[in-house]
Amino acid sequence: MANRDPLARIRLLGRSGLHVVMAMGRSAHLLLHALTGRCGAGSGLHLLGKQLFAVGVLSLPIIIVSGLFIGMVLALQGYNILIDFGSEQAVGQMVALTLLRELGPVVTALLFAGRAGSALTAEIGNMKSTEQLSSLEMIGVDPLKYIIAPRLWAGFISMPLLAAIFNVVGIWGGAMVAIDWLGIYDGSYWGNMIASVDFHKDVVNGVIKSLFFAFVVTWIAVFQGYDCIPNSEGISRATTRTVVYASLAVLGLDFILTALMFGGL
Amino acid sequence: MILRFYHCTVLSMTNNGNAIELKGVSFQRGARKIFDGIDLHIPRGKVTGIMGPSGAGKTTLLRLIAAQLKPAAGEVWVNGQNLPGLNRADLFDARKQFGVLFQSGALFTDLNVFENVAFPLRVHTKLSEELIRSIVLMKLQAVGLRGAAHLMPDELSGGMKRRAALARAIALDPDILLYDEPFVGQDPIAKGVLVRLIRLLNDALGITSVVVSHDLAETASISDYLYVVGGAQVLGQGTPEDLMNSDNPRIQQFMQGRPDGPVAFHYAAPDYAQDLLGGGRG
Repeated sequence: MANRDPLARIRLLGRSGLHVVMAMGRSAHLLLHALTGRCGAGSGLHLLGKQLFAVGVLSLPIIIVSGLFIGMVLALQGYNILIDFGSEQAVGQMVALTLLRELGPVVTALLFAGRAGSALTAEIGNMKSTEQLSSLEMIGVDPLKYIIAPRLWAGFISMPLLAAIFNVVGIWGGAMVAIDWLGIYDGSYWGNMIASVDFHKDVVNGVIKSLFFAFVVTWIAVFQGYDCIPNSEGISRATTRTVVYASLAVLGLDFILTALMFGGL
Repeated sequence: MILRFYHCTVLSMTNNGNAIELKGVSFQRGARKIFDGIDLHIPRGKVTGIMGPSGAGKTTLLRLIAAQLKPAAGEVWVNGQNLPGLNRADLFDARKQFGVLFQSGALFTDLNVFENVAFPLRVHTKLSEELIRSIVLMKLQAVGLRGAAHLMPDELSGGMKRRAALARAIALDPDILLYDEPFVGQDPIAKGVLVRLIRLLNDALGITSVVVSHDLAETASISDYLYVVGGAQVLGQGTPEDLMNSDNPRIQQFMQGRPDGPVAFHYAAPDYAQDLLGGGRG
Protein backbone atom coordinates (compact mmCIF):
# COMPACT_ATOMS: atom_id res chain seq x y z
CA MET A 1 0.00 0.00 0.00
CA ALA A 2 1.20 3.51 -0.75
CA ASN A 3 2.53 5.39 2.24
CA ARG A 4 0.33 8.41 2.91
CA ASP A 5 2.50 9.92 5.64
CA PRO A 6 3.72 13.25 4.18
CA LEU A 7 6.94 13.06 6.18
CA ALA A 8 7.67 9.62 4.75
CA ARG A 9 7.13 10.99 1.26
CA ILE A 10 9.52 13.86 1.91
CA ARG A 11 12.06 11.39 3.29
CA LEU A 12 11.66 9.24 0.19
CA LEU A 13 12.11 12.27 -2.03
CA GLY A 14 15.22 13.30 -0.13
CA ARG A 15 16.65 9.79 -0.35
CA SER A 16 16.01 9.66 -4.09
CA GLY A 17 17.68 13.04 -4.49
CA LEU A 18 20.68 11.85 -2.52
CA HIS A 19 20.94 8.72 -4.67
CA VAL A 20 20.91 10.82 -7.83
CA VAL A 21 23.58 13.19 -6.51
CA MET A 22 25.75 10.28 -5.34
CA ALA A 23 25.40 8.55 -8.74
CA MET A 24 26.44 11.77 -10.47
CA GLY A 25 29.46 11.99 -8.18
CA ARG A 26 30.42 8.38 -8.92
CA SER A 27 30.04 8.93 -12.67
CA ALA A 28 32.21 12.08 -12.52
CA HIS A 29 34.81 10.11 -10.55
CA LEU A 30 34.75 7.36 -13.18
CA LEU A 31 35.20 9.85 -16.01
CA LEU A 32 38.01 11.71 -14.26
CA HIS A 33 40.02 8.61 -13.41
CA ALA A 34 39.40 6.93 -16.75
CA LEU A 35 40.48 9.86 -18.88
CA THR A 36 43.45 11.09 -16.87
CA GLY A 37 46.81 9.37 -16.65
CA ARG A 38 48.22 6.51 -18.64
CA CYS A 39 46.71 3.09 -19.22
CA GLY A 40 49.70 1.37 -17.59
CA ALA A 41 48.77 -2.07 -18.85
CA GLY A 42 49.64 -3.30 -22.31
CA SER A 43 49.40 -1.11 -25.34
CA GLY A 44 46.73 1.57 -25.09
CA LEU A 45 46.49 1.74 -28.87
CA HIS A 46 45.93 -2.00 -29.13
CA LEU A 47 43.08 -1.81 -26.59
CA LEU A 48 41.61 1.21 -28.39
CA GLY A 49 41.80 -0.59 -31.74
CA LYS A 50 39.86 -3.56 -30.36
CA GLN A 51 37.16 -1.30 -28.99
CA LEU A 52 36.96 0.79 -32.17
CA PHE A 53 36.18 -2.45 -33.98
CA ALA A 54 33.62 -3.61 -31.41
CA VAL A 55 31.91 -0.25 -30.97
CA GLY A 56 32.39 1.38 -34.36
CA VAL A 57 32.89 -1.19 -37.11
CA LEU A 58 30.23 -3.57 -35.79
CA SER A 59 27.74 -0.68 -35.70
CA LEU A 60 28.26 0.01 -39.40
CA PRO A 61 25.54 -2.30 -40.80
CA ILE A 62 22.73 -0.77 -38.73
CA ILE A 63 23.98 2.76 -39.47
CA ILE A 64 24.25 2.17 -43.22
CA VAL A 65 20.89 0.43 -43.57
CA SER A 66 19.11 3.03 -41.40
CA GLY A 67 20.78 5.93 -43.20
CA LEU A 68 19.78 4.54 -46.56
CA PHE A 69 16.11 4.10 -45.68
CA ILE A 70 15.83 7.41 -43.83
CA GLY A 71 17.33 9.24 -46.82
CA MET A 72 14.91 7.47 -49.17
CA VAL A 73 11.90 8.27 -46.98
CA LEU A 74 12.98 11.91 -46.64
CA ALA A 75 13.20 12.27 -50.39
CA LEU A 76 9.80 10.66 -50.93
CA GLN A 77 8.04 12.72 -48.26
CA GLY A 78 9.86 15.91 -49.28
CA TYR A 79 8.87 15.43 -52.91
CA ASN A 80 5.19 14.97 -52.02
CA ILE A 81 5.17 18.15 -49.94
CA LEU A 82 7.31 20.32 -52.21
CA ILE A 83 5.46 19.40 -55.39
CA ASP A 84 2.38 21.26 -54.07
CA PHE A 85 4.45 24.45 -54.13
CA GLY A 86 6.17 23.62 -57.41
CA SER A 87 9.49 23.35 -55.55
CA GLU A 88 10.21 19.67 -56.01
CA GLN A 89 13.63 20.52 -57.45
CA ALA A 90 14.64 21.58 -53.89
CA VAL A 91 14.29 18.05 -52.54
CA GLY A 92 18.07 17.52 -52.51
CA GLN A 93 18.55 20.63 -50.42
CA MET A 94 15.87 19.47 -47.98
CA VAL A 95 17.32 15.96 -47.62
CA ALA A 96 20.85 17.26 -47.07
CA LEU A 97 19.96 19.95 -44.53
CA THR A 98 17.66 17.65 -42.56
CA LEU A 99 20.32 14.95 -42.37
CA LEU A 100 23.32 17.18 -41.70
CA ARG A 101 21.68 19.37 -39.08
CA GLU A 102 19.39 16.96 -37.28
CA LEU A 103 18.71 13.42 -38.30
CA GLY A 104 22.31 12.38 -38.96
CA PRO A 105 23.68 13.14 -35.47
CA VAL A 106 20.45 12.38 -33.58
CA VAL A 107 19.45 9.09 -35.24
CA THR A 108 23.06 7.87 -35.22
CA ALA A 109 23.25 8.61 -31.48
CA LEU A 110 19.96 6.80 -30.80
CA LEU A 111 21.04 3.78 -32.86
CA PHE A 112 24.46 3.86 -31.22
CA ALA A 113 22.85 3.89 -27.77
CA GLY A 114 20.70 0.91 -28.71
CA ARG A 115 23.42 -1.20 -30.30
CA ALA A 116 26.84 -0.23 -28.95
CA GLY A 117 25.73 1.47 -25.71
CA SER A 118 23.68 -1.46 -24.50
CA ALA A 119 26.47 -3.86 -25.52
CA LEU A 120 29.03 -1.82 -23.55
CA THR A 121 26.84 -1.82 -20.45
CA ALA A 122 26.13 -5.54 -20.65
CA GLU A 123 29.78 -6.40 -21.29
CA ILE A 124 31.13 -4.32 -18.38
CA GLY A 125 28.31 -5.49 -16.10
CA ASN A 126 29.12 -9.09 -16.96
CA MET A 127 32.80 -8.49 -16.22
CA LYS A 128 31.75 -7.10 -12.85
CA SER A 129 29.45 -10.01 -12.01
CA THR A 130 32.10 -12.59 -12.94
CA GLU A 131 34.67 -10.74 -10.78
CA GLN A 132 36.89 -9.94 -13.77
CA LEU A 133 37.06 -6.29 -12.71
CA SER A 134 38.00 -7.30 -9.14
CA SER A 135 40.53 -9.68 -10.59
CA LEU A 136 42.14 -6.86 -12.59
CA GLU A 137 42.32 -4.72 -9.46
CA MET A 138 44.07 -7.52 -7.58
CA ILE A 139 46.57 -7.97 -10.42
CA GLY A 140 47.37 -4.29 -9.90
CA VAL A 141 45.66 -3.04 -13.05
CA ASP A 142 43.18 -0.18 -12.74
CA PRO A 143 39.98 -1.29 -14.55
CA LEU A 144 39.04 2.35 -15.09
CA LYS A 145 42.12 2.75 -17.26
CA TYR A 146 42.25 -0.73 -18.78
CA ILE A 147 38.55 -1.43 -19.40
CA ILE A 148 36.66 1.87 -19.22
CA ALA A 149 39.06 4.34 -20.88
CA PRO A 150 39.47 2.51 -24.24
CA ARG A 151 35.69 2.11 -24.50
CA LEU A 152 35.10 5.78 -23.77
CA TRP A 153 37.63 6.91 -26.37
CA ALA A 154 36.28 4.40 -28.91
CA GLY A 155 32.79 5.87 -28.47
CA PHE A 156 34.06 9.46 -28.76
CA ILE A 157 35.94 8.66 -31.97
CA SER A 158 33.52 6.33 -33.70
CA MET A 159 30.19 8.11 -33.28
CA PRO A 160 31.03 11.27 -35.30
CA LEU A 161 32.44 9.02 -38.03
CA LEU A 162 29.31 6.87 -38.01
CA ALA A 163 27.18 10.03 -38.22
CA ALA A 164 29.20 11.16 -41.24
CA ILE A 165 28.66 7.78 -42.92
CA PHE A 166 24.95 7.96 -42.04
CA ASN A 167 24.71 11.37 -43.74
CA VAL A 168 26.52 10.27 -46.89
CA VAL A 169 24.43 7.10 -47.25
CA GLY A 170 21.22 9.04 -46.49
CA ILE A 171 21.93 11.66 -49.16
CA TRP A 172 22.76 8.88 -51.63
CA GLY A 173 19.52 7.05 -50.72
CA GLY A 174 17.61 10.31 -51.23
CA ALA A 175 19.25 10.71 -54.63
CA MET A 176 18.20 7.20 -55.66
CA VAL A 177 14.57 7.92 -54.89
CA ALA A 178 14.49 11.52 -56.12
CA ILE A 179 16.51 11.11 -59.32
CA ASP A 180 16.08 7.48 -60.36
CA TRP A 181 12.49 6.96 -59.24
CA LEU A 182 10.72 10.33 -59.06
CA GLY A 183 12.54 11.80 -62.05
CA ILE A 184 14.02 14.90 -60.44
CA TYR A 185 16.75 16.38 -62.63
CA ASP A 186 20.07 15.29 -61.07
CA GLY A 187 21.63 18.71 -61.68
CA SER A 188 18.89 20.28 -59.54
CA TYR A 189 19.26 17.67 -56.79
CA TRP A 190 23.00 18.09 -56.39
CA GLY A 191 23.21 21.74 -57.45
CA ASN A 192 20.61 23.00 -54.96
CA MET A 193 22.24 20.91 -52.26
CA ILE A 194 25.72 22.31 -52.91
CA ALA A 195 24.41 25.86 -53.13
CA SER A 196 22.46 25.73 -49.87
CA VAL A 197 24.67 23.69 -47.55
CA ASP A 198 27.04 25.89 -45.59
CA PHE A 199 30.14 24.08 -44.39
CA HIS A 200 30.41 25.83 -41.01
CA LYS A 201 26.74 26.31 -40.24
CA ASP A 202 25.51 22.87 -41.30
CA VAL A 203 28.39 20.40 -41.52
CA VAL A 204 30.54 21.63 -38.61
CA ASN A 205 27.53 22.17 -36.33
CA GLY A 206 26.37 18.64 -37.11
CA VAL A 207 29.80 17.27 -36.19
CA ILE A 208 29.79 19.28 -32.95
CA LYS A 209 26.38 17.84 -32.06
CA SER A 210 27.68 14.38 -32.81
CA LEU A 211 30.68 14.89 -30.52
CA PHE A 212 28.40 15.96 -27.64
CA PHE A 213 26.13 12.96 -28.20
CA ALA A 214 29.11 10.60 -28.37
CA PHE A 215 30.40 11.91 -25.06
CA VAL A 216 27.04 11.62 -23.28
CA VAL A 217 25.96 8.24 -24.69
CA THR A 218 29.30 6.51 -24.09
CA TRP A 219 29.66 7.99 -20.61
CA ILE A 220 26.18 6.78 -19.64
CA ALA A 221 26.81 3.32 -21.12
CA VAL A 222 30.12 2.62 -19.38
CA PHE A 223 28.97 4.11 -16.08
CA GLN A 224 25.80 2.03 -16.00
CA GLY A 225 27.84 -1.12 -16.62
CA TYR A 226 30.48 -0.25 -14.04
CA ASP A 227 27.95 0.81 -11.41
CA CYS A 228 25.38 -1.96 -11.91
CA ILE A 229 24.34 -4.51 -9.32
CA PRO A 230 26.46 -7.51 -10.34
CA ASN A 231 23.79 -10.10 -11.09
CA SER A 232 21.64 -10.93 -14.10
CA GLU A 233 18.75 -8.71 -12.99
CA GLY A 234 21.10 -5.82 -12.21
CA ILE A 235 22.76 -6.08 -15.63
CA SER A 236 19.45 -6.17 -17.49
CA ARG A 237 18.19 -3.13 -15.55
CA ALA A 238 21.44 -1.27 -16.24
CA THR A 239 21.19 -2.08 -19.96
CA THR A 240 17.63 -0.73 -20.08
CA ARG A 241 18.71 2.39 -18.18
CA THR A 242 21.51 2.97 -20.69
CA VAL A 243 19.12 3.02 -23.65
CA VAL A 244 16.48 5.13 -21.88
CA TYR A 245 18.83 7.67 -20.27
CA ALA A 246 21.02 7.98 -23.36
CA SER A 247 18.04 8.48 -25.68
CA LEU A 248 16.48 11.12 -23.43
CA ALA A 249 19.82 12.85 -22.96
CA VAL A 250 20.41 12.94 -26.73
CA LEU A 251 16.98 14.40 -27.47
CA GLY A 252 17.20 16.98 -24.66
CA LEU A 253 20.73 17.94 -25.58
CA ASP A 254 19.72 18.21 -29.25
CA PHE A 255 17.15 20.87 -28.40
CA ILE A 256 19.68 22.87 -26.36
CA LEU A 257 22.37 22.63 -29.04
CA THR A 258 19.91 23.47 -31.83
CA ALA A 259 18.72 26.51 -29.87
CA LEU A 260 22.32 27.62 -29.39
CA MET A 261 23.38 26.96 -33.00
CA PHE A 262 20.33 27.90 -35.02
CA GLY A 263 17.96 29.58 -32.58
CA GLY A 264 19.84 32.85 -32.34
CA LEU A 265 20.59 32.46 -28.62
CA MET B 1 62.46 -10.98 -8.62
CA ILE B 2 62.76 -7.23 -7.95
CA LEU B 3 59.30 -7.12 -6.45
CA ARG B 4 60.14 -10.05 -4.22
CA PHE B 5 63.43 -8.43 -3.10
CA TYR B 6 61.54 -5.23 -2.21
CA HIS B 7 59.03 -7.18 -0.16
CA CYS B 8 61.74 -9.16 1.59
CA THR B 9 63.36 -5.85 2.58
CA VAL B 10 60.06 -4.52 3.88
CA LEU B 11 59.45 -7.78 5.72
CA SER B 12 62.82 -7.69 7.43
CA MET B 13 62.07 -4.14 8.60
CA THR B 14 58.65 -5.00 9.96
CA ASN B 15 59.14 -8.62 10.81
CA ASN B 16 56.91 -9.46 13.75
CA GLY B 17 55.86 -12.87 12.45
CA ASN B 18 52.63 -11.60 10.95
CA ALA B 19 52.12 -10.89 7.26
CA ILE B 20 48.70 -9.33 7.82
CA GLU B 21 47.30 -7.52 10.86
CA LEU B 22 43.81 -6.13 11.26
CA LYS B 23 43.49 -3.75 14.19
CA GLY B 24 40.08 -2.67 15.45
CA VAL B 25 38.49 -3.02 12.03
CA SER B 26 34.83 -2.10 11.69
CA PHE B 27 32.75 -2.35 8.54
CA GLN B 28 29.07 -1.95 7.86
CA ARG B 29 26.65 -2.08 4.94
CA GLY B 30 23.87 0.42 5.48
CA ALA B 31 22.72 -0.04 9.06
CA ARG B 32 24.02 -3.62 9.29
CA LYS B 33 27.34 -4.10 11.08
CA ILE B 34 29.45 -6.74 9.38
CA PHE B 35 32.49 -6.31 11.65
CA ASP B 36 32.71 -4.41 14.89
CA GLY B 37 36.29 -3.61 15.90
CA ILE B 38 37.84 -6.99 15.11
CA ASP B 39 41.53 -7.84 15.52
CA LEU B 40 43.12 -10.50 13.36
CA HIS B 41 46.71 -11.63 12.84
CA ILE B 42 47.76 -13.79 9.90
CA PRO B 43 51.10 -15.49 10.56
CA ARG B 44 53.70 -15.32 7.80
CA GLY B 45 54.44 -18.48 5.81
CA LYS B 46 51.45 -20.38 7.18
CA VAL B 47 48.05 -21.41 5.86
CA THR B 48 45.38 -19.56 7.83
CA GLY B 49 41.75 -20.49 7.47
CA ILE B 50 38.95 -18.02 8.06
CA MET B 51 35.72 -19.86 8.65
CA GLY B 52 32.21 -19.05 9.62
CA PRO B 53 28.62 -19.58 8.57
CA SER B 54 27.27 -18.17 5.32
CA GLY B 55 26.67 -14.43 5.56
CA ALA B 56 29.18 -14.00 8.39
CA GLY B 57 31.29 -11.65 6.26
CA LYS B 58 34.17 -13.96 5.30
CA THR B 59 34.46 -12.69 1.74
CA THR B 60 34.05 -9.13 3.04
CA LEU B 61 37.00 -9.79 5.34
CA LEU B 62 39.07 -10.98 2.39
CA ARG B 63 38.16 -7.84 0.44
CA LEU B 64 39.11 -5.70 3.44
CA ILE B 65 42.51 -7.41 3.56
CA ALA B 66 42.97 -6.81 -0.17
CA ALA B 67 41.79 -3.19 0.27
CA GLN B 68 38.96 -3.64 -2.20
CA LEU B 69 36.76 -2.36 0.60
CA LYS B 70 37.63 0.43 3.00
CA PRO B 71 36.91 -0.14 6.69
CA ALA B 72 34.75 2.38 8.55
CA ALA B 73 37.36 2.28 11.32
CA GLY B 74 40.61 0.50 12.08
CA GLU B 75 43.82 -0.40 10.28
CA VAL B 76 44.74 -3.15 7.84
CA TRP B 77 48.50 -3.71 7.85
CA VAL B 78 49.98 -5.87 5.09
CA ASN B 79 53.74 -6.31 5.03
CA GLY B 80 54.28 -3.05 6.88
CA GLN B 81 51.79 -0.92 4.91
CA ASN B 82 48.44 0.31 6.18
CA LEU B 83 46.50 -0.29 2.96
CA PRO B 84 43.41 1.88 3.63
CA GLY B 85 45.75 4.85 4.07
CA LEU B 86 47.31 4.54 0.61
CA ASN B 87 46.31 6.64 -2.39
CA ARG B 88 44.87 4.95 -5.50
CA ALA B 89 48.17 4.61 -7.36
CA ASP B 90 50.08 3.24 -4.33
CA LEU B 91 47.23 0.87 -3.59
CA PHE B 92 47.41 -0.67 -7.07
CA ASP B 93 51.15 -0.97 -6.58
CA ALA B 94 50.73 -2.62 -3.16
CA ARG B 95 48.27 -5.15 -4.58
CA LYS B 96 51.06 -6.70 -6.64
CA GLN B 97 52.12 -8.56 -3.49
CA PHE B 98 48.77 -10.42 -3.50
CA GLY B 99 47.51 -13.28 -5.54
CA VAL B 100 43.78 -13.86 -5.27
CA LEU B 101 41.77 -16.90 -6.23
CA PHE B 102 38.20 -15.69 -6.62
CA GLN B 103 35.19 -17.90 -6.03
CA SER B 104 34.28 -17.94 -9.72
CA GLY B 105 37.89 -18.13 -10.90
CA ALA B 106 37.38 -14.75 -12.63
CA LEU B 107 39.38 -15.74 -15.70
CA PHE B 108 39.31 -13.17 -18.50
CA THR B 109 36.79 -14.65 -20.88
CA ASP B 110 38.35 -13.19 -24.04
CA LEU B 111 41.77 -14.76 -23.34
CA ASN B 112 42.76 -18.42 -23.42
CA VAL B 113 44.33 -20.14 -20.41
CA PHE B 114 47.90 -19.35 -21.52
CA GLU B 115 47.13 -15.65 -22.04
CA ASN B 116 45.27 -15.46 -18.73
CA VAL B 117 48.34 -16.68 -16.88
CA ALA B 118 50.65 -14.53 -18.98
CA PHE B 119 48.54 -11.40 -18.37
CA PRO B 120 50.14 -10.25 -15.06
CA LEU B 121 53.61 -10.91 -16.50
CA ARG B 122 52.91 -8.88 -19.62
CA VAL B 123 51.45 -6.02 -17.59
CA HIS B 124 54.03 -5.79 -14.83
CA THR B 125 57.28 -7.02 -16.35
CA LYS B 126 59.36 -6.44 -19.44
CA LEU B 127 60.32 -10.09 -19.80
CA SER B 128 60.97 -11.51 -23.25
CA GLU B 129 58.26 -13.57 -24.91
CA GLU B 130 60.34 -16.76 -24.49
CA LEU B 131 60.77 -16.19 -20.77
CA ILE B 132 57.07 -15.42 -20.33
CA ARG B 133 56.26 -18.64 -22.17
CA SER B 134 58.56 -20.65 -19.90
CA ILE B 135 57.13 -19.11 -16.72
CA VAL B 136 53.54 -19.63 -17.85
CA LEU B 137 54.20 -23.26 -18.73
CA MET B 138 55.85 -23.81 -15.32
CA LYS B 139 52.87 -22.31 -13.49
CA LEU B 140 50.44 -24.36 -15.57
CA GLN B 141 52.52 -27.50 -14.95
CA ALA B 142 52.29 -26.79 -11.20
CA VAL B 143 48.49 -26.86 -11.36
CA GLY B 144 48.36 -29.70 -13.87
CA LEU B 145 46.98 -27.69 -16.79
CA ARG B 146 49.94 -27.34 -19.14
CA GLY B 147 48.04 -29.41 -21.70
CA ALA B 148 45.05 -27.04 -21.47
CA ALA B 149 47.02 -23.87 -22.24
CA HIS B 150 45.23 -23.33 -25.54
CA LEU B 151 41.69 -23.75 -24.18
CA MET B 152 39.29 -20.86 -23.62
CA PRO B 153 37.75 -20.41 -20.14
CA ASP B 154 34.32 -21.60 -21.29
CA GLU B 155 35.90 -24.90 -22.37
CA LEU B 156 37.09 -25.65 -18.81
CA SER B 157 35.29 -27.43 -15.98
CA GLY B 158 34.73 -25.56 -12.69
CA GLY B 159 37.72 -27.20 -11.04
CA MET B 160 39.97 -26.53 -14.04
CA LYS B 161 38.90 -22.88 -14.06
CA ARG B 162 40.00 -22.51 -10.45
CA ARG B 163 43.29 -24.21 -11.13
CA ALA B 164 43.92 -21.95 -14.13
CA ALA B 165 43.05 -18.96 -11.96
CA LEU B 166 45.45 -20.29 -9.33
CA ALA B 167 48.22 -20.45 -11.93
CA ARG B 168 47.48 -16.82 -12.81
CA ALA B 169 47.44 -15.85 -9.12
CA ILE B 170 50.96 -17.22 -8.63
CA ALA B 171 52.33 -15.89 -11.92
CA LEU B 172 54.12 -12.98 -10.24
CA ASP B 173 55.29 -15.05 -7.23
CA PRO B 174 53.16 -13.13 -4.71
CA ASP B 175 53.92 -12.99 -0.99
CA ILE B 176 50.32 -13.58 0.00
CA LEU B 177 47.71 -15.80 -1.62
CA LEU B 178 44.07 -15.19 -0.78
CA TYR B 179 41.53 -17.91 -1.55
CA ASP B 180 37.84 -17.03 -1.62
CA GLU B 181 35.72 -20.16 -1.06
CA PRO B 182 37.99 -22.37 -3.18
CA PHE B 183 36.03 -25.57 -2.56
CA VAL B 184 32.49 -24.37 -3.28
CA GLY B 185 30.70 -26.37 -5.98
CA GLN B 186 33.61 -28.74 -6.56
CA ASP B 187 33.36 -32.50 -6.90
CA PRO B 188 35.39 -34.61 -4.42
CA ILE B 189 38.27 -35.12 -6.86
CA ALA B 190 38.55 -31.40 -7.68
CA LYS B 191 38.31 -30.58 -3.96
CA GLY B 192 41.12 -33.03 -3.20
CA VAL B 193 43.26 -31.52 -5.97
CA LEU B 194 42.72 -27.98 -4.68
CA VAL B 195 43.41 -28.98 -1.06
CA ARG B 196 46.69 -30.56 -2.10
CA LEU B 197 47.64 -27.62 -4.33
CA ILE B 198 47.00 -24.98 -1.67
CA ARG B 199 49.20 -26.76 0.86
CA LEU B 200 51.84 -27.65 -1.69
CA LEU B 201 52.13 -24.13 -3.12
CA ASN B 202 52.29 -22.62 0.33
CA ASP B 203 55.16 -24.86 1.39
CA ALA B 204 57.01 -24.86 -1.93
CA LEU B 205 56.85 -21.10 -2.51
CA GLY B 206 57.12 -20.06 1.14
CA ILE B 207 54.12 -17.77 0.86
CA THR B 208 51.37 -16.80 3.28
CA SER B 209 47.98 -18.30 2.44
CA VAL B 210 44.59 -17.14 3.66
CA VAL B 211 41.71 -19.51 2.91
CA VAL B 212 38.20 -18.19 3.39
CA SER B 213 35.76 -21.06 3.42
CA HIS B 214 32.87 -22.74 5.20
CA ASP B 215 34.03 -26.18 4.13
CA LEU B 216 35.16 -27.39 7.51
CA ALA B 217 36.94 -30.66 6.72
CA GLU B 218 38.97 -29.36 3.80
CA THR B 219 39.96 -26.07 5.42
CA ALA B 220 40.84 -27.64 8.77
CA SER B 221 42.94 -30.29 7.03
CA ILE B 222 45.33 -27.77 5.46
CA SER B 223 45.24 -24.85 7.90
CA ASP B 224 47.95 -24.20 10.46
CA TYR B 225 45.72 -21.69 12.20
CA LEU B 226 41.98 -21.04 12.08
CA TYR B 227 39.69 -18.11 12.79
CA VAL B 228 35.95 -18.47 13.17
CA VAL B 229 33.97 -15.30 12.51
CA GLY B 230 30.30 -14.56 13.07
CA GLY B 231 28.04 -11.94 14.59
CA ALA B 232 30.45 -9.14 13.56
CA GLN B 233 33.14 -10.61 15.84
CA VAL B 234 35.96 -13.13 15.83
CA LEU B 235 34.30 -15.98 17.74
CA GLY B 236 37.42 -18.02 18.19
CA GLN B 237 40.92 -18.72 16.94
CA GLY B 238 43.60 -21.37 17.29
CA THR B 239 44.80 -24.55 15.68
CA PRO B 240 42.13 -26.83 14.19
CA GLU B 241 42.48 -29.08 17.25
CA ASP B 242 42.02 -26.14 19.65
CA LEU B 243 38.80 -25.14 17.91
CA MET B 244 37.50 -28.71 17.75
CA ASN B 245 37.88 -28.88 21.51
CA SER B 246 36.55 -25.39 22.17
CA ASP B 247 33.83 -25.06 24.81
CA ASN B 248 32.36 -21.98 23.10
CA PRO B 249 28.84 -23.15 22.08
CA ARG B 250 28.82 -21.10 18.85
CA ILE B 251 32.15 -22.61 17.76
CA GLN B 252 30.99 -26.06 18.78
CA GLN B 253 27.83 -25.67 16.72
CA PHE B 254 29.82 -24.63 13.66
CA MET B 255 32.64 -27.17 14.01
CA GLN B 256 30.22 -30.03 14.60
CA GLY B 257 27.68 -28.88 12.01
CA ARG B 258 24.67 -28.85 14.37
CA PRO B 259 21.55 -27.44 12.70
CA ASP B 260 20.29 -25.72 15.86
CA GLY B 261 22.06 -23.93 18.68
CA PRO B 262 23.17 -20.37 19.36
CA VAL B 263 22.70 -19.79 15.62
CA ALA B 264 18.99 -20.62 15.48
CA PHE B 265 17.49 -22.86 12.80
CA HIS B 266 14.33 -20.71 12.69
CA TYR B 267 14.42 -17.16 11.43
CA ALA B 268 12.95 -14.78 14.02
CA ALA B 269 9.16 -15.05 13.83
CA PRO B 270 6.07 -14.51 16.02
CA ASP B 271 4.63 -17.39 18.01
CA TYR B 272 3.84 -20.35 15.70
CA ALA B 273 0.40 -21.19 17.14
CA GLN B 274 -0.66 -17.56 17.17
CA ASP B 275 0.56 -17.16 13.58
CA LEU B 276 -1.43 -20.23 12.43
CA LEU B 277 -4.55 -18.86 14.07
CA GLY B 278 -4.16 -15.61 12.16
CA GLY B 279 -2.94 -13.45 15.03
CA GLY B 280 0.39 -12.46 13.57
CA ARG B 281 -0.03 -11.47 9.93
CA GLY B 282 3.28 -11.18 8.06
